[in-house]
Amino acid sequence: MEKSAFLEATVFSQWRLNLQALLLTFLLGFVCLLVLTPLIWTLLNSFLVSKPWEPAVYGLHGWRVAFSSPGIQAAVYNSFSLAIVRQAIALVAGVFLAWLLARTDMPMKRWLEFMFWFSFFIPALPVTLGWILALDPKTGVVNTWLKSLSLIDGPLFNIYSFWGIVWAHLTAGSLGVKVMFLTPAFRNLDAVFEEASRVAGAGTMTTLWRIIFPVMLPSIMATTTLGLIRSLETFEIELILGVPVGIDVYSTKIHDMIALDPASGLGPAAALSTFFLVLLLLLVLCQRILIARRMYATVTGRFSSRPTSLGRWRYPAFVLVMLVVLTITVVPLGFLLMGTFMSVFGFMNIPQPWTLEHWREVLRDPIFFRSVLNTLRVAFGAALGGVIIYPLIAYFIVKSRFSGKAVLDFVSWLPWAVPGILLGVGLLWTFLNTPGLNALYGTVYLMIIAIVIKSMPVGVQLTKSVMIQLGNELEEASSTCGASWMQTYRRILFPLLSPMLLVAGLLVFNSAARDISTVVLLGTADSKTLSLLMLEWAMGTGAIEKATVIGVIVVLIVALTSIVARRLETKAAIKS
Amino acid sequence: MFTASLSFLSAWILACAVTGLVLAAETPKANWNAEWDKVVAAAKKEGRVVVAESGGAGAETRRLYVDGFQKQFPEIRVDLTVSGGEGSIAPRILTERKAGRFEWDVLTGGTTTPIEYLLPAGVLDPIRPALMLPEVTDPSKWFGGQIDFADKAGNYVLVFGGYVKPPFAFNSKLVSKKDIDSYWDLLEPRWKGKTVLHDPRRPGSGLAAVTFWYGWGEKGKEFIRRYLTEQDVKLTGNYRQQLEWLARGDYVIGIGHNNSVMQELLSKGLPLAQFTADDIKEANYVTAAIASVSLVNRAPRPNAARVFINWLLTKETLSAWSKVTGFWTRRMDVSHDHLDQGLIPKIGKMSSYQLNYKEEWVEKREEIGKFLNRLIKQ
Repeated sequence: MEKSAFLEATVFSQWRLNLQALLLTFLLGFVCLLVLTPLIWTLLNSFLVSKPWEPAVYGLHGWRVAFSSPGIQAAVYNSFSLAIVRQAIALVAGVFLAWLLARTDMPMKRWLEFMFWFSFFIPALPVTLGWILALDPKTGVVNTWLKSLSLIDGPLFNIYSFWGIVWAHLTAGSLGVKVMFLTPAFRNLDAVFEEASRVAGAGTMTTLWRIIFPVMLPSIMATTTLGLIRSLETFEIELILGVPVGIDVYSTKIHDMIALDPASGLGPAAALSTFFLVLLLLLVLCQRILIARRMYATVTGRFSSRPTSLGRWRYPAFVLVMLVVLTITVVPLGFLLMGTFMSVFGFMNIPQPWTLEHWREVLRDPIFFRSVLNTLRVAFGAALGGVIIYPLIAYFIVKSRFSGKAVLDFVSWLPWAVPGILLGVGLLWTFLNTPGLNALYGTVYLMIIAIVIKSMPVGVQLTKSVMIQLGNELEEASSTCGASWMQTYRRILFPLLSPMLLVAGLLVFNSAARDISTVVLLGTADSKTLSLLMLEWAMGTGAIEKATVIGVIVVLIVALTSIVARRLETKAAIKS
Repeated sequence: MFTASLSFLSAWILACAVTGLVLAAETPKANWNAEWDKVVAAAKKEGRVVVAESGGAGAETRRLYVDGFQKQFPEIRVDLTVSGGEGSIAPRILTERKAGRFEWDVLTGGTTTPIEYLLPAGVLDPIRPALMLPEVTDPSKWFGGQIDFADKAGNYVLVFGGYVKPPFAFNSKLVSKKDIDSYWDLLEPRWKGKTVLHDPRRPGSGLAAVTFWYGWGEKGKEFIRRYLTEQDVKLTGNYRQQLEWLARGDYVIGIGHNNSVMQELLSKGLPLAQFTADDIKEANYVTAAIASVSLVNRAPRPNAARVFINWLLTKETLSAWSKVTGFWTRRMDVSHDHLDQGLIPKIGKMSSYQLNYKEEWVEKREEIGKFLNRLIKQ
């Protein structure tokens, strides 16, 4: 009888192992197909010297053009300096703000945290336009107002500058995303660490620096690396604020190469991207070395999350955070909304500066409603797909003992290695040449897959950062009680991960609602989303005011989704 | 009696001849009508037509293409995709075709995309056989008594409009027309750092302007070299931004500006104005703007494509098109009273204009691009 039970247990265990192995193999194959194919395509194209309609000829011409094009060194320097400066500011501020929101007794924390989420979800393009309206050196409302008060002679602020770009980025998501990622991780931190530090006589700031910061290092490293990579790839803000004053960055150069020569520019653009891919590998390697040999389980069976008392600093801290929140949400949104009612965006000294015409035109256009429906289909589809796939990938990377997990970990980073426009072309090529996926061409399903791929680094890294904090004892206890791996995953891990998964899902939703470059080649007139409509209206003959109306509507959609997701998250949070 | 019989016979022969002539004249009409009905019926079965617009058409033009067509043919839906600029739709079409996907029926927009990218790749079909409506095929309806084509073969890239390019846009508060009467005036020190050119390295109006100068030969090359290297010229790839900079006074003269954007901003009261070709000593050039149409080969909906192309070239559609774009059309029966007369090519001056939307000029753009890359360091 005992022997039979032992055999049964062994067979069951093997089956469970095989299920995991099968799932891992499938995931690895699926992720590699979707992620590596466009990248291999990019690498191959970096050596392609013939035009698309000529027989393929390979050589180093693309690489030579890429690295000898005028201004490329300055562009690479600008990319790094802008990225490092804004990441440094966002990191310091983000850690402090996340700690205040997650670990202290500051009032209205949940609402303030929600506003940081919200700041991240405002699309970058309209936010930038809002700041132009406020801080343009000649016509900016703030500069004009300060001048009218005789406080200044010339413009005090210039949004078209290095610091203008840094500012626009910080308010358009760099700070918000840090707080979004770090706050749930801080919240999952066991208060035992802080209590032990306090018992040992350390003050609040010493505890933050000496205890909490090192324990939070995986999450901090993950968000910093993600932020840095993301910063190097950003495009719209630099294009609008930097290019007019000669501040080119790597991504605007790539855009230029393709725009200036659609037939032959792909080679040099792909060569520059491959160079960037190598830099990414180095960044990922650094992150892995830094966190490889440490234990970071902070949520265990004895988990406690008692907040730190701020004492007399409670309300000053609240005012400070509130000011930050208003600056990154209400101010740009106010200007953005104002812009939608302007006859010509940014021009107040014309005969009739205000109008409702842009709203009327947008709302009576049938294409607008089709685009809203498409946006919702793509966004919900991608969010759902991401929430299912990302935690599975993260689980296998963090918890499994399979040798393929390192590859999976590495591959999951790669979609950010290539700028959106090139990834879009690569995905187009992949989808067209992959049996099965080929049939989906021209539908919203391909756009959903593209968004899931593009958002993979953030989705997987986010989930990983929480997964690392979960001790194995929870799983072991579940297993001891006879639960299968799937039951443990569904009943124990998934609820613990759910706050972060909601963030990830929302992030994917947001990407789908505002992504342009990745899906621009996959969208057809039938599957056009609001972001593509916004692009269409903003480009060419430039109906920028109508594009701004779309921007406001996208903000409203993501705000609504954020509120719903927030409510769900509150119910599912660890503390409950 | 004999004379009477002869008269009767003559009258009868004359009557027969007249009837024959009338019938002969009637038969093709009857033929095209039957043929047209057949094509329309087949197009209705196809249900939609997929159109790529490569020139960045404005919202009103897009509305005309989609709603205007569907008003007349409610059973045929127009799926219009407007690409990010000249050339940018080409890689997509070529990639799709390499994978055996044929998605597009009609291409409209500028002439660079079809001539520089699609014609060499064998993507286009002759468009002449697709022209069916008598008001479209009748050469007398068209400027110069013929339907115009941008390609050398005269069969693929049909040009239905355009305009004589106004040489400069300017800030009307800071510059007067008296300040300039020749392109060479741009080389004066007072304009250093004051002019903004639409980036001529990308397809568009800036490239058209530089192509025009390049057409002057060595003198033109010298002008381009001096202008780009000595005058601290600002380049932008964004038409709207270019004119906003002028209106704000960041720069005072704009070259290679977009006429539609200009008209829109002018109507809102921005301090802008433009020189017409008559204000400048040198001759000027005619551009096709976004007024070309081509038939994509192996189109999945060939009948709907034919219906769309014929509909586009009718008097009614091009009248509406001219009003929404602010461009001249090559149809002689379309009224152009709403346009600045300086934009309309004069038939007697055609030999003096450079027609730089034509293949012989478009194919020079690679050479011009190399020349520009040596000069532009931005």
